[in-house]
This record gives sequence, structure tokens and C-alpha cells, in this order.
Amino acid sequence: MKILILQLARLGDIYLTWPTVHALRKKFPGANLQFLCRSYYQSATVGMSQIDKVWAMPTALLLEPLFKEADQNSMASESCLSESIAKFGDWAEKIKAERFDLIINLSFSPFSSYLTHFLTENETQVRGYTRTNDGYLSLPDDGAAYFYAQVGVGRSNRFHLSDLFAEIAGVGIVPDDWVSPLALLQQSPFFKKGESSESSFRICVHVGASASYKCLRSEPWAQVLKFIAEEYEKSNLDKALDLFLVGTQAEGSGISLPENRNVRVHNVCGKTQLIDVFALVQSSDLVVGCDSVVIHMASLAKIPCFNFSFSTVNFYETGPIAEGSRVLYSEFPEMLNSRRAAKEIVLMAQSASSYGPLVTRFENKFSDFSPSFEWDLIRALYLGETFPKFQNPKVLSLLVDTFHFGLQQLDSLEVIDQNEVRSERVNSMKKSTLQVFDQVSGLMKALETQAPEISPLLRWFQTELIRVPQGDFRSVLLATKEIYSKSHAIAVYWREVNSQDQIQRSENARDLF
Amino acid sequence: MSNPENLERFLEEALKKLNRSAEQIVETGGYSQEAEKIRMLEELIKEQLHHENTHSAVSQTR
Repeated sequence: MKILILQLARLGDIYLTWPTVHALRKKFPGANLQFLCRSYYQSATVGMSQIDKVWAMPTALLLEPLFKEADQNSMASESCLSESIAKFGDWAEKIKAERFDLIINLSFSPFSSYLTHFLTENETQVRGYTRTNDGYLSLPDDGAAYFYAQVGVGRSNRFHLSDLFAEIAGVGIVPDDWVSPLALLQQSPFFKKGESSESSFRICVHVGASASYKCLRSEPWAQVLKFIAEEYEKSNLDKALDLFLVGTQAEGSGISLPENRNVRVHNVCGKTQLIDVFALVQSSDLVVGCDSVVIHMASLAKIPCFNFSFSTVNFYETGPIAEGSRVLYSEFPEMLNSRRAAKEIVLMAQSASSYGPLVTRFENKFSDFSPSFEWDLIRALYLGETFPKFQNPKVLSLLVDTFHFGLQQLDSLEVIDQNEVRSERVNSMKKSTLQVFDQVSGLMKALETQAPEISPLLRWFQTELIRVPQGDFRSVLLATKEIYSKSHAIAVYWREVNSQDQIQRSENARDLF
Repeated sequence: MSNPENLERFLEEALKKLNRSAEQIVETGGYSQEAEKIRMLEELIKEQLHHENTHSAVSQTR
């Protein structure tokens, strides 16, 4: 069996794919596992020992004809475009020639969906984003549909990205699937032997991230480090503290280093390969950083993290996994209290309880951070849990009417005989129904503006419509009607609950359908 | 053409041409592998303009 895993995002997402790859190897011990990533991020596959072959996509090389011509002309010529298409086609055909039995696309871009479809043979099973045979987006599995509807910054998903990757791949991951390549890391000059850690406490601090909006600037970092040194001196810890700063040279250059009797600072920013950073993480007692690749390395190495998180990222999706990790959330980096952060880090070093409020990773999940109607709604829609109470009579009434209106339109089409599907009368009816669906879509947008908290339901509804399989007129009609019926049932349920002024806790969402 | 603005304009023009080619292929012969190759190249070029595909899986653009 030949399996291809596509991961075309950045370093962090590649590391978050490792547990899924590990679980896939357990599920398919004899399979030939291949992995496709961008050549720029290929270094994050080093140590992924379950993979038989890595394909690296050389984007710059594939676009070379275009870039070359751009140096000389202001317009792309037909021959240059043909050359680019041919070059790209040759590269993709080589991968296609492998004739995969299963393709798992763990990227969520339009490009990856086209590529997945291109690489698909008649007998290939596909999971994750792909395309229909006429080029439309296709979401073949529940995991991909969930991702499309509910995942991303500004949305309310609280499932970890690594779990979502596993769901899409059709495997479950357990803590043992988070594995670091220890033998390989031990070869790095930055790997510290176990005995030396007894004389000092090691903290690896990543002072950067893949994007500036995810991390602290150098001044607040310098302040946090200074306060860590001070708090550590004040603590009852008798070991020395070794602080290893990792990041790019630029990230590390603006940080002035604290000098204390018990604290040694090693700024190795710009002096490490990716695998060396992994080795440093593996030989640390604690990792400190924002939303970045180093946090994911720590998850694989099972090293607890102290993670700074901001509203620009979602720690539920990409936060640390190792047991006991803690997340300090501030809406913006500027709002971070450096002294408090340092105190919390030293408390972690002492294995002491936090001052709080912090989010803690415990028993393979994050402690509750804040209640969320949207998250409860997602759990009701996808896990069959109780629907949260929605008390906005005006929006609710519009919601019921909108779904009812759509259902009425679909009912009017149901009387059409299969034999007259292509008749002029029916074509005219279908056209007017499509216009009605556009109106429904417009109403949905208006409702979302009025009550943003019901967005998960509206996105679920729209995503399920995308998922209606191609087929004859009647099958498409019935599948569409089923989605409208489910949505209508939820809205009616909410209305009834409101009228009873109580939520029947025992009612299960699935019973509604 | 080292100027990024000129390069962006060049790529946007290339995108328009590619889109027209893909549409012509679809109109005449349906959605074929040739059309799909063009669509892929289009998306690859779009990424150069907006860097959307190399972001994390959970970034706003995907």
C-alpha cells in the first residue's frame, strides 16, 4: 500500500503532523509512507523516521521561467507561461506516477486541493481537501469539513491542530505518538548529557516566531529574562539556572542579557540548525516561548512549556501538548505583565502552583479558559452534546423562517418528474430556486452580523451544502433538503426551549435528526 | 525587474492570462488535467503575491 501525506504549510505544522505520521505507521506497518512538503521547510522532516520518502516541492525552481522573464519584460509571454506549465506538470507527473492508494492532504489551501486531485487515480482514496472532477472544492471526510467550517483565527474551535490532522488522516493519536528522534538529537553538539542537568535547571527560550504578530519584541523579552533572573535568585532553588536563547540572529541581537550570580545566559540565536534547537529543547527542563515551532518540538520531546499566547493565535489549536504546560494569555503582546510572567516561570521551575489565572495542560487537554457559547454550539453540532441556550427571539424567529423558506422552495421542486428535469419549465423553476438560495445566503450573512455567536451553525450549514455529492437532480435535491431540515430542526428546538424557558439536558442533538 | 511592485504586476498579468487559458480549455474540452495544471500554477503564483499557502494551517487565508 502506498500512502502520500501532503503538508504544505510551515515548520510548525510539519512538526504537528509527526504524531499523525507515527499513528499511520502503527496502523499500516507495511505501507510505503511518502511525505510531500515545501523544500524550504524540509528540515522539519529530519528525524521523522516512519517516512520512506520525502518529496520536496521546489517552488522557486518551478516558477523560474516566470521570474526570469520578469527580469527582462513587463508582460509574461505565452512561451514563458507554457514553459512554466510544462515544468510544473513534469514535477507533478513524477509524483503522480507513484500511483498512491491513499492520499492524505493536511494542507488547507486551494493549491493543495488542486494538487491532491491531480495526483488522484481512479482507485485512490482521498482524505482532506481535494477537488471534484469539474474543479470545485471537495471535502470528502468529516475532518476536512470540520476544518473548513470551524478552524482558524477568529473562529471558536478548541480542538488541537494535531488532533484534527489525525482525524483527517483517519487515525487516533495517543500520548505515545508524540516522539522525538532522540538518537539523532544526541548527535547535535547542543545536546546536553543527563548528568549535567542535575547541577543546573535549564530553560530554553525561543525569542522569535514565524510571524511578528505572534511574538514579543526584543525589549519585553529582555525585561522578562531580567525578571526571571531576579525571581530565580529570590527563589529557594539551589541549582544554577541555564537560560538558552534560541531564534534567528536578528531576533537575538536586540536582547540585553541579565547578569546574576546563579543565572547563566547562553545566547545561541543564529548559531543553530533546526535540529540543534530540537536538541536544546530535548535537553531542557522547561521551554518558554510564544506560538512557534519550538513549542511543538517541546510537545514531541514531552518537555513542559510556558507559552505566551495572544489574540492573534489560538492556543487551543496550536498550544503546547506536554503534561503540565501552562499558557499565559494576554490580548496583545503590549499587555503582557513581564514581572508576573517571570514569577510564573520560576514557579513552574519550582513545580509550584501558579498565581493564576493560567490555562494548564492536564490529562491531555487544556483546563477551561473561558466559557464559550460558540464552542458549546460546535460540540452540540459535531459531538452530539446538548445545544447551548440561545436567547435572541428576533434572530431566532428569522432563523426559523429562513430555513423554513428554503425548505418550501425545495418542496416545490420535489414534485418535478425525473423525466422532465431538462424541460424549459423545470429549468426556469430551478433558476428561480437558485435565486432563492442566494437570498437565503444573504439572509444568513445578515443574521451572522446580528448574532455572531451562531456563526458555527451557519458555517456548518454552508459547508454541508458544499459537501452534497454530485449526482442526479433528485439525489442532490434530497441531500440539500436534509441539510435544511436539520438546520430548521435546531432553530425550532431553540425556539421551543426558549418557550419552555429551560434546556432539557438529557436531549441529545442526534435525536433531533 | 527587481522592483517588487513590477514583479507583482507581472505576476498579476500572468494570472489573468492563465485564467483565460484555463477557462478556454474548460469551455472546449471540459475540466481536464491540462486545465488542472494551469489552475495549480495559478494558485502557486497567488501564493507568491499573498504568501497565503505557506502560512500555518490555521491562518485566516488558506
